[in-house]
Amino acid sequence: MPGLLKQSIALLRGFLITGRYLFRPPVTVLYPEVKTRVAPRFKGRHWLTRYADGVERCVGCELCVIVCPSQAIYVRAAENTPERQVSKGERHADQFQINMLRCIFCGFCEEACPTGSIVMGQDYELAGYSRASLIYTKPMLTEPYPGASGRDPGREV
Amino acid sequence: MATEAAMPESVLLRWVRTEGMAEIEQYRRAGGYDAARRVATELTPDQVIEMVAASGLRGKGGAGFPTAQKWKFIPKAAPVKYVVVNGDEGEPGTFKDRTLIEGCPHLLVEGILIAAVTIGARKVYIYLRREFYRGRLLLDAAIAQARAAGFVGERIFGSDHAVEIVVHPGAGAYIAGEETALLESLEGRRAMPRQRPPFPAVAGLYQQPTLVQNVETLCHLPVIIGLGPERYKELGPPVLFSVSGAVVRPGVYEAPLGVTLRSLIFDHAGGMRPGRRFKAAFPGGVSSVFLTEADLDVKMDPDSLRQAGTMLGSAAVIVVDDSADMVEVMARAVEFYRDESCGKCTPCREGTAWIAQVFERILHGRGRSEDLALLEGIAGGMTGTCFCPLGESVPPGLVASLRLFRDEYERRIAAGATDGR
Amino acid sequence: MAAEAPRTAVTLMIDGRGITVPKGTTVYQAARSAGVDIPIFCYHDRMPPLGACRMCLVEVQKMSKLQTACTLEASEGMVVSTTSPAVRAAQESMLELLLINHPLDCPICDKGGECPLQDQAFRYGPGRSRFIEAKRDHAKPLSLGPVLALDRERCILCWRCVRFGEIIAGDDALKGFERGFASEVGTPRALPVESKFIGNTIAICPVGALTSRTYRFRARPWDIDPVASTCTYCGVGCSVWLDVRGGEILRTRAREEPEVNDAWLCDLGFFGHGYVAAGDRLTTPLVRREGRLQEASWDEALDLVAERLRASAERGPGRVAFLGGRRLSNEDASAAAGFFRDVVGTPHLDHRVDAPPDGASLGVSWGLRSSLEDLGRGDVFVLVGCDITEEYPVLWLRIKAAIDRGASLVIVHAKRLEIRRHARRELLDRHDRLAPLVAALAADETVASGERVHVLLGRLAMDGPDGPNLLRSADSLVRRVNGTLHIARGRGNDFGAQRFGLLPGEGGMAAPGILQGAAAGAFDLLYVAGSDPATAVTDGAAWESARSGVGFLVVHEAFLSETAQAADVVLPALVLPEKDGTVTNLEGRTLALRAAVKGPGQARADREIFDLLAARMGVVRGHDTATRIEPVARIEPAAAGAGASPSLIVVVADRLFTQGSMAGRCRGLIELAGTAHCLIHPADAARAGVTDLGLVEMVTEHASVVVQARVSDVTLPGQVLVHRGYDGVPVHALARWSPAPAGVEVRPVAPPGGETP
Repeated sequence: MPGLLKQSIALLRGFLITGRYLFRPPVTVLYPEVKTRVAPRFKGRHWLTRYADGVERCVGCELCVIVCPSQAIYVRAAENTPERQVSKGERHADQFQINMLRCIFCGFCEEACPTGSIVMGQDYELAGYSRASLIYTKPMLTEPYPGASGRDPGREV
Repeated sequence: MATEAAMPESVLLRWVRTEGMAEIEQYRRAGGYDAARRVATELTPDQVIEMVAASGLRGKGGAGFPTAQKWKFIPKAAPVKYVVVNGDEGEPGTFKDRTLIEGCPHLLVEGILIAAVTIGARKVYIYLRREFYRGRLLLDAAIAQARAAGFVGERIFGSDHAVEIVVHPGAGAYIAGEETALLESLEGRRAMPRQRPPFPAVAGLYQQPTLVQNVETLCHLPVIIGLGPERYKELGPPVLFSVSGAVVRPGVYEAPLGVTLRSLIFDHAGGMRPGRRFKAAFPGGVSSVFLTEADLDVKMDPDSLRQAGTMLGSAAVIVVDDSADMVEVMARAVEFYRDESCGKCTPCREGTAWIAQVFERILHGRGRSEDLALLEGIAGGMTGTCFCPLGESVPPGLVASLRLFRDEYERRIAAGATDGR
Repeated sequence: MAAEAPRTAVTLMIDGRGITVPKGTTVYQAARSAGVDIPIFCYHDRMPPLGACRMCLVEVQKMSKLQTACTLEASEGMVVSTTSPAVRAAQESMLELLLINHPLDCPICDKGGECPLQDQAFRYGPGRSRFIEAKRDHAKPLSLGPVLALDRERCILCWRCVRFGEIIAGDDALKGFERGFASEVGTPRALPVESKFIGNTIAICPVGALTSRTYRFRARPWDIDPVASTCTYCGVGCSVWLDVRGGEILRTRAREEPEVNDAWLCDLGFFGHGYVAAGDRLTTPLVRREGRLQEASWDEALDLVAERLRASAERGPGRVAFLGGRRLSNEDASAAAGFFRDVVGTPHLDHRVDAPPDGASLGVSWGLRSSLEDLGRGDVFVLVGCDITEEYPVLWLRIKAAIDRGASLVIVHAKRLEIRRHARRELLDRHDRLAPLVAALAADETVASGERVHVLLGRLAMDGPDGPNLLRSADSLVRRVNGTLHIARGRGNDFGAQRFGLLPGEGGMAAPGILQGAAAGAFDLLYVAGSDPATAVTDGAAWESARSGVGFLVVHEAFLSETAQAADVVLPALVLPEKDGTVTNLEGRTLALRAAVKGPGQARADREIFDLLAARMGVVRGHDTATRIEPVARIEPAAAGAGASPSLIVVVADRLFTQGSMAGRCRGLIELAGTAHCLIHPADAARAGVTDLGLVEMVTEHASVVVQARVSDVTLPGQVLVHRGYDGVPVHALARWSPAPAGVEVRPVAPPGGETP
């Protein structure tokens, strides 16, 4: 019966593919013990970056707020004083919040940022146990030290 | 100052060059105030305007508007009218008004009386450049003498006319030489030109009909009335040229309208300084486009100069010789405009400053080859867009210098580029 | 083509479209009426064109040069292009030139997002700049007083702000300095700007050069929900936008309303919203227990008040009185009037808390006798004791516009007003000698020849020593010249309180009578809402004795005011920006209030409180029962106060910027108000040994206050001017209700360390 023969060949062919991959290294990883490397331009968790001298890049202009398609960002600006020069110029972000539950990681905020302050990092492990913990505040978003986000603090925009 | 009698007959400068003309007795002995007396007591306003029209007198401040026509614009019936004398002589290279005021203040006073009586103004303001300190003292004294003689004040020359003259020193702005800016300044505000229309003849000082007239223009009036318009016209008509720069005898020269540039420089002003060659000349102050050697035989009258792409302006001839660098000459001119722009309109305020910055860069060896196109571009943006003639007078000269002396610019830029390395 | 266009119309072509406009219209206006956009910077439609920015250049056939559309009058058959290559090139040039010295700090700039320069640079700009030189460099920002910040780098010198001060406000607050490219606007030596209208310059600045120091960096246009409402400070009733972000009013802007405020506001309106979010707002009812005000529930407080009202009713009718109304809405006033008249049953209601018994204020109804628009069409204005820029600032703008059209201003006052240079005539005399000046006005040529004479009689005149006489003189003046007499009296919603019945009813007492009655024990309960009589009553002792003579005091308040501190029950009230409703302005116009934000804690609207009380009294009230009561008939003025005139008298005057309960809680306004001070004439100062800016003690036979002295000839010899409205400086205690002027002694106070009273 030609049909049976045909089916057997197909079966063998299938096994052949399986066999071929049997000896290759696996594509999957044992997450969370093992973690995948993401692409360099991966759009993960946001960082508010600093200049090399430690001054914050964010001037609180709120362009990210207006461009955000899921309205996930809240910014409240304040004035720099001679005693407390947070950013360059006269203005800085006093409050900066990103609601990670709303964020769709489109990267528009990074693109809109005129000072290159907001960048999207490599971190994708953003689960949490409460809704409140997923509203990232300014202390959580700001780089602890220049370059902590992985971006060159001296870069020009 | 040159005193050589270059002209066979000088009808204006003879008042200036004669000693003691600041004194009223001397002036009257020479026939002074006769013209004003005739105007006040014998002639009708229409007759005076007719004479001035026949003389072909044009404003000597720069715009060259026919004087009689300007007078006709003043509404006859208006109850309050003013004459404002523009003595804010600020155009670089112009010093004829100062010469007249310092040489013979009574000539100006007489001219003022003729104009005021003719248009029916009772109050005259002389807006005098503050730097004319000596002129102001002489003018004040002359007005006081004329008042004592009954020529200024109520019932002048025994007629029913009353003319009051007030001397008002300016605050040192070139733009105050522009008639509407002058009126703003006189009213106590920042000297910035006004929108026209309405013209000052209709709504000028304090919104009343106002005749704004240059010092020299007024000084021509006694001469015209005295000689009669026909005789006056036969004399050229005469114009005062302020010749300055690289000539042997800089000074004010009276010459008939239409004298050639060559004659002015070489006959009147004694020619170029020894060993120097003529390179260029501004025929009417820095605001006019300069002329080059090819234009030496151009006639110095409004129409011929317009055909040559420039203007007579205030008849201030600034002569540049071959030792001068045209880039520096233009840079100096642009700096002047940058400093004197009033700041009202965008193209003049920003454009002059930008051009000056580019020039400064070129002069300091940081010029770029694209800067010449940039200068042309900025000049293009200013052309036809400025509020008043101050800004408009920058692009033509700049563009002409870029065309005629491009090699000098290019040499500068190339030298700068070499120095830089 | 329109074949039958009226003779006064011209038809022109703009971008290929035929447009017919009245003769005299500019090309810019014609284009705008047809929906053709021409970019502008220096032009503002409330001022004559200037033609400075050169942004509106258009090409006109048969004209050699490009023309500025804002200055060019449209003429018949004109053919205009706003989009030709030459126009495009000029627009690009102008924007490139404007931007060479304009810093690109839009992300920092407050104007970002609502900036005409930004918008036009996008729309008409070249997209790139050839400018590589150094930009203009100035220290930024320059602070010009408590509310205004100037960033000279951003200024594009459109001259709008300068011209606003020259043409609209007439105060020349900002001026041009330097020349050409170095030109800048500002004040001499960068001193604080002196203006009551500077907020408007912030609004009309086409870039971020003039910004508000109170709004600086607080929000972006896209954060804001604008709420259309009405300003309730002075009674003009200017239409405003309250810009709200996150439940807080961050700024106030003028909302265009040609019939009231046109496009303008005064600075009290601009910067006067901060009190709404003040931290010391009352959030719960307070009840006096063991001599102290302590927090209580609404039920407890309302039950207590209802019980007291019932107890009083049992003792007899009319033993309850109500004072206040200025800070209530029309609806609140109506509810209060209905509650006291119908439920409590008392005729003793009055909103005119600050009126003295012997002045002229109680005899007339307050407000204008014509619309603001009609007033603006007047040709002669006589201000009698009316300091218009301090009391009704935006009304002054209307008068200023009329003056520019040829109207005349005559001032009769006891003080040199700041608008005096716009006046044709100024008649000054000491406060107690104003009446003869008004009587003499009928002989004034300007006033007599006026066709539409408007006389504004102000508080200083009406409540002064000779008030009734002044009222009579002013009244006979307007009769003789066929003018209109306006009673420039009342603030806030006094006019709504008057309209909706917060006036004495049949047999009822007016405010001074209520106070005197309370002192004499005629009332069991005194109820105060929308007022602070402890500071507003012009006789300090009258309030104190009223308070001690009345058994129970109930107060609606937003703050623990002096009156509230003395109360037995304080009920936390919403303020006007937290309420929906209406107010009435001084011309009687009804204007809408919209709740911009929620109130703090348990605060309630006054109207709701009256309803809850009514329910406890067994009456359920609707709001359709607002009864209109007639203002009391004109009372015959008393004879002028006789007796010896003191050599130095005290005059308590109104000031726009004060430190009262509302303005005193607004950033910017506090600084504008400065410290409480008196104005003393140099001659009197020399006699008393008083130096400028030194502390003085003002002593009358009743009280003394310590204030700063300003030696100035704004006041006249023989009188010391002092301003009311500074909390903690009880100037109202200085005088008693009396038809005679109050004598005062002024003596310098030794600086701290020396002896102080």
